[in-house]
Amino acid sequence: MVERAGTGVLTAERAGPTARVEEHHAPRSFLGRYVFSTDHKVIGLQYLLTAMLMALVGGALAVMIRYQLAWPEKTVVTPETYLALVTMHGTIMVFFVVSLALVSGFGNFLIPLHIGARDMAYPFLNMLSFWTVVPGCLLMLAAFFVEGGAAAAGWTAYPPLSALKEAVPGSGLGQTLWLLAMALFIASFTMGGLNYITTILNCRAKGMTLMRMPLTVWMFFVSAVLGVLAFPPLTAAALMLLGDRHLGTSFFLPGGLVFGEEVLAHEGGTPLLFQHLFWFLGHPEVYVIVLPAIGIAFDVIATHARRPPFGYRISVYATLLIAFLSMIVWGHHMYVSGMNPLVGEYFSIATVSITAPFSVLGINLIGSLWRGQIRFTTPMYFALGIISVIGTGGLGGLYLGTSTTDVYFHDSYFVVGHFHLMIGVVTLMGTFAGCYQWFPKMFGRLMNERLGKLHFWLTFVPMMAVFVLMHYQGLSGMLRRYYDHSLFEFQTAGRALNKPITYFALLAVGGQLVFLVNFFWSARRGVRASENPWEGASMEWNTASPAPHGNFGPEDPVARRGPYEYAPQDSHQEYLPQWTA
Amino acid sequence: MTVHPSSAAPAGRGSAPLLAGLFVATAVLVAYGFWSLGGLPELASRHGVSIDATITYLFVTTGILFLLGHGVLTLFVLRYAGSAERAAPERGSPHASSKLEWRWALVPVLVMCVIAEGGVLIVGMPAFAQLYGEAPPDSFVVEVVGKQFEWLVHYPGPDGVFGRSEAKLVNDARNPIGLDKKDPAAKDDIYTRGQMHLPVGRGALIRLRALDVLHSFTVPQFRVKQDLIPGFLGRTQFEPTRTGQYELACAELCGLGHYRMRGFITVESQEEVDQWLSEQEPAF
Amino acid sequence: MDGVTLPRPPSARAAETLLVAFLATVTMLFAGFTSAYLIRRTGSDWARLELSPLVYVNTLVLLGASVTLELARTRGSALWPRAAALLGCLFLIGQVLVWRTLSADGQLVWHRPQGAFFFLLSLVHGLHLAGGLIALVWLLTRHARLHLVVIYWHFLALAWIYVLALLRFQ
Repeated sequence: MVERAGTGVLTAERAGPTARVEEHHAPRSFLGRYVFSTDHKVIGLQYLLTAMLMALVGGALAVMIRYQLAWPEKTVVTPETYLALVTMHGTIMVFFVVSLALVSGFGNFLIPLHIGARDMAYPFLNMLSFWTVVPGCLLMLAAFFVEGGAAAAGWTAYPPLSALKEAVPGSGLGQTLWLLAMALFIASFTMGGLNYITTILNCRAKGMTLMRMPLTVWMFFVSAVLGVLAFPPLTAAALMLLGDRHLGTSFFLPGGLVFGEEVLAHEGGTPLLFQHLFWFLGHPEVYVIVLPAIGIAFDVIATHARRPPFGYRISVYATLLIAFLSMIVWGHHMYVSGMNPLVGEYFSIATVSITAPFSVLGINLIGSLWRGQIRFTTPMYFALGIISVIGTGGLGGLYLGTSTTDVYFHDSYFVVGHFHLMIGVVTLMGTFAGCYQWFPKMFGRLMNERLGKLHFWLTFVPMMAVFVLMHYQGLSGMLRRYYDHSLFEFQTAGRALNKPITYFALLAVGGQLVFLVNFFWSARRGVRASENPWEGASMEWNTASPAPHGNFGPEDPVARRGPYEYAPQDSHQEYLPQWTA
Repeated sequence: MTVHPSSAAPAGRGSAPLLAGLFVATAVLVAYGFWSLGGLPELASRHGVSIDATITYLFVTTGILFLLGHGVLTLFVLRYAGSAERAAPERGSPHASSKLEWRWALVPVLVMCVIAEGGVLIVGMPAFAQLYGEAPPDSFVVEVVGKQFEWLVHYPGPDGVFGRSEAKLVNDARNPIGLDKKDPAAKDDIYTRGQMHLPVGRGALIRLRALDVLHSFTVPQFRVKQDLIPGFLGRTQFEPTRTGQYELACAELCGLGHYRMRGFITVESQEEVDQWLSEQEPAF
Repeated sequence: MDGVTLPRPPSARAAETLLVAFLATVTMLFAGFTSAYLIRRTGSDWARLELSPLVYVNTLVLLGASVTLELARTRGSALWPRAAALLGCLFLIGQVLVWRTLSADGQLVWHRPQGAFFFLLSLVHGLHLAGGLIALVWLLTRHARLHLVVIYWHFLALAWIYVLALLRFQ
């Protein structure tokens, strides 16, 4: 493969008479190759490494939060620090770890390889997108070191708390930096999403019809569409919030706000407006990051269960339906916010209807094992784990989507446990499954299987323990974002679980070190991988490991069948790769 | 084309029982935990009965689905573990007909529509009606004013009319809810710091407003939670059914003291409430 | 490993897709502002915004740019895009003048929501138009993808008329 790639300089014969014939060399300088690269694979890895660094921060914050909750009497942190920890942990994990690693990282790395393209449609835009999010990360981290500390109004940043520096110390410069960092993130993510859409619709290899794309690509496509449509209202909200904070406008601030007997000059705004704009993004964002993880699970299961996914087309349709529904249900985050209860009832009916297409995905995931020949590799472990976590966390969503039971569960630890399972554990395990599965295409080596499986046990068991136990805390009435639960008698029962949860959380965070060691050790020392170590049938296995610049050899790849021709019915072969004649 | 020997793809045969064990353990432990650890605080309100019924309903239905799902997952992991030999013929072709696939798509759609929409529209409806419908005409009306970080409880006094209040009159020590002295209706008003007394067995209608940021009126035993929004007059209603003292907590992040924003609600007979009210100082 | 083939420049269809997706995201941005505007308008302190006539002159200028670009697309002279760029610049200058008149008569002050919305919406629109100007200048030097830039300018003309209508109907 490597020699084949080395031969050369290529022309753009299929691009039609008007296109310029370009001769393109892989960049030779260090800067061009690894820093300001326009190669989608390098950019994907850059995102992944950035997300790992941010995950170290996010994980450290989680440890500090758990420490405070388990031993509140030691007062290791002050209340202002605690709120900053909670806020920054949420923001960093949702946007700067999971979104970056899974959507930006794997999206970039996998889409062109999967659809037989040589790069993204707009490689320069792609690079620009990465270098927009880097200053975003830096600004977000810088917030810890400014006066008043980092933002402390929760990752949801509800005004008036987030709008007034009188309300909480973090609402000074820390909140401004938070907003600017989010603006950079949104700009980057939008550029990325536009690029995904364009690439998937226009750069597929010959023969790669939409219904021959792996489900991962479908999920990235839907995720990108959702992101592109759902983020702008948050941008609008962020701009208006900046106005309220710094210019004296009153978009979200009503009249008569009193702080320490001072009446503020704001007049006429409404705090609920922000919540609507925030959740118009916030809810689709859940699907933006969960769907790719499910897509990866489908692909990994197909490869290692040696059979096509159960109900490929149905899964595509179900995903499209989920995407549509996800944009009209944001109000389920606001049942007790003072919204008109009848509107809340509409949101409730719409919300729980998502469980229908979603459980179709669940059935199809399990069905994809039916009559398979399961190979228990590390990526397969994680993919199977994802099924279990979705089954656990997904059903918990019903308690919250039903408006009347949400009255009890809203803002309790039940919510914390639920969303961590769905957008924390599912997405992380999807990212890990992806790492183990496609590591050969990144570094030409395989990750260590023993360490990989150890990592699985150290991820699945403690993480499930942590977040399921939080469900029980929520059932007992324990409320979230509390610095110390010991002041309320009704939280006594839930509080008893705080220490076990913290122990499990430490184990879960510690377990990730196994992954880091495995990742960096295997990148240099792992077993060398052949082109197709898993005997996969989809297009990315039709190239060298690691995939060279330009992805495929001199011949443009052609897709001759679907991506999942395992155990083909009319052939003696165990599987038929997508690209062979 | 050549099919590569799968040197790097170990079948990992010991894995099947291990993972099967993991999924069984997950299913058993999660369900057992919900059963034994997940008790709600003892109920003390009328509409709470149907909220609890809805929770129990979801508990049973989702519990069955959860156990079924994990059961099938476990079975498949055991049954379809790859062997060293190539395809075991007795398993049959893995290719499902699209008819079969559609059938299996229809099953969860129907099941979830019945279970989920049934929960919202049928089982949950009584609670919804009691929480958000017309308050009973004889409701006991109290106002709660949230501020960082305490609950101010405002009674209309003997005249039954809440006096006018204004932000600029707020004075932490002398007039925390900003009552207007010039309003005759305000003279007999009563306010307390974090002490609310409610009659048992009579509907309570709570007017909610906030002075500074969002707060949320939460009493777990009453199964009540409703945000207080500055600039708006909100409300919530419930009927306490058990006497005793309950803690009033804040559920919406409101700043540094969020975790210690505590109030007390004493539920007692109407006579005791009247007695207590008569012992309170009027505002002016 | 070096010296591999790389992609042909993205096809015209790809550029169209990119533009359509981008317009969708911009539309959602204005939709976000619209819902905010409609809700905020019910606030107690809302007052009618008296727009200065200059706004309508600006609107005509912007429409002129749109027409000019349409001519550029059909007639294909290099002069038309230059004229459009000039009109675009005039529009932006005109908008700044509108801000000045509005703030001179006390309507555009931060604590007046109608003024704040006018400023915010015209600012966001203006920034997108500035992007359109850059695209035009780039077009003047490279002579490619004219029809995409034209679509973008038409979109912005429509967006401005929409903003104006939104602010007028009160």
